[in-house]
Amino acid sequence: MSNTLRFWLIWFGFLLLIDVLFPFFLLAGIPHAKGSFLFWTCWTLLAIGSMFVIFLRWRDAPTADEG
Amino acid sequence: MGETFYPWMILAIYAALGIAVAAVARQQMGAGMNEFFLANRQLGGIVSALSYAATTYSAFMMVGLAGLTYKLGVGAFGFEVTYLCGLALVVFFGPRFWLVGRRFDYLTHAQLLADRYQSRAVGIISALLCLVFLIPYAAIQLMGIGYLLAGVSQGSVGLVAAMILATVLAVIWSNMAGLRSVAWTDALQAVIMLVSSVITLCFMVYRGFGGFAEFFARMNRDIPELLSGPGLFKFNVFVGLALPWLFFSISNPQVTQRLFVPQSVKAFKQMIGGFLVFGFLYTLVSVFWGFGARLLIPDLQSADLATPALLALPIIPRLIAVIVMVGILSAAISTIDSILLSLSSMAARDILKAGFAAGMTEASELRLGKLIIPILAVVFFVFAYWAAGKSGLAFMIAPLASAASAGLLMAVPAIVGAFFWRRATAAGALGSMLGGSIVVLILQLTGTKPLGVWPGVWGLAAGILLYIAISLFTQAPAEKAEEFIGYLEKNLQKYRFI
Repeated sequence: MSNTLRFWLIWFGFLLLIDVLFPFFLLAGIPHAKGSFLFWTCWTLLAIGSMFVIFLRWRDAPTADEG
Repeated sequence: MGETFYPWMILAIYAALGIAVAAVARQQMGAGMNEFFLANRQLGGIVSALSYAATTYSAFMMVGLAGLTYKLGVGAFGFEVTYLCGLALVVFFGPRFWLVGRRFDYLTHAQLLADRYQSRAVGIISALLCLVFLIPYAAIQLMGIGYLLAGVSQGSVGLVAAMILATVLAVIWSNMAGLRSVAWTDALQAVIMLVSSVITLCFMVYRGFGGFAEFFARMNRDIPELLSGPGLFKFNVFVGLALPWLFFSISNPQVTQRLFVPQSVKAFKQMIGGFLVFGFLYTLVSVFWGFGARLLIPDLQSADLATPALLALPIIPRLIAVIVMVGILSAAISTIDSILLSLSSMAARDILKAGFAAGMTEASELRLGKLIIPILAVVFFVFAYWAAGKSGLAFMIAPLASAASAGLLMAVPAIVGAFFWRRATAAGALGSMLGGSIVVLILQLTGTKPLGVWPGVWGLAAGILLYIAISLFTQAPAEKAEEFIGYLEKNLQKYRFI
């Protein structure tokens, strides 16, 4: 497993962790759209942005596949 | 005339338009299994993105998710965006599916598993899992259509008539040109789904509340319990619903098959990017519908009626409501026809050909696949008809969808291991799929949730343990593992895949 893959797996694991922990434990006392709703909106944009960072680097291969 | 005429007229236009698009797609169709079921791996990026979105987003969104938001609040939003961000798995696994699909000419993920583990049994069991667990999932699409059309048309289109219409259209569009007609009609339907739902949202927010500021103010004032923390979701319910959906993109065959079809890396990027943008917008709209319905019609007997009741309100113009009805019909049919196509390819290749007729010609295999499509459609319809007569939480659309996904989750250890673990074995893959599925089925059928944890979570835990433990004590197909994983290691970097 490459270091890049390891980094992104840890990053997405972290995102997944806060996806559950923040609303259930930190935002439980905020009965307002600025609580969990805003959190999940920002969280989604962050996750989507991370995916764009990964796949925008992809390119069609200049040479034929090996193997 | 208007009350009965409008819905049927719009439905007729929709059906005619879809058939015309499918007919154009048919003119480009070549011969063979790859052509029929994978559009010869030559789909462009925009069509792939819209088709991926239409396949993934079903009647569940506008009916089920809106209903779940209505009932349990903001946690429904969290659960759905957790699924959306599960697309990170496509960023990791998609390129791997795509590369080996081209290299080894795979048609389905069951075929991939059978070849990687050098075991026909692995392919057969994987395909059977998909068949068993996708039947309720496809059936709920029909139920969603039934609820919705009956509600919006105020009875002029009955529940059973709506389900029959959807079944027939799905069969026609699947059969006309296979994935080409499905993808093209999906693309058309995705546009209808998004545009009609956004227009309705605008009518709801501006006519019902006077604008977004007042809409949010009413949410904060009138339903604070649905906004606090995860809303009325319990922790175990949230995890139990979200976990199967998180892995949806690599466990559901109608979605994994999409990973084989982009014609280039550029098309693959467009597919993922387009889907993410579409998904985020569509999720927001569905959730807003749920909150809006809760504020405007707070006393519904069933949460699944939130959308039909919302569309029946006078603030939504009749014509718009009928177009939205078609949008949701589109969402459901585009999911059903993709499932029909995937399952028929699995039944033909991974079960019947691999299991009983290895010498079958490609032409016979294709004929068989096409024959299976209407048979499966009838099975979906019968299940939907039966389930639509039930009531209670177990038959709410969202939990039923998640229960189906929980079963499909059992292939995930074998799929992940296929790409990364050379030591993995066929016995381990079989043990995890069968053991995990048995755990899920027993818990689902008995309605048991040990420690309050949902069946999918227990099934996945059992599946992972069995996969690792059995693999460590059995013989791995070393040569194939090296060929498969070695090929990926050599070629991933070339495309800058990670």
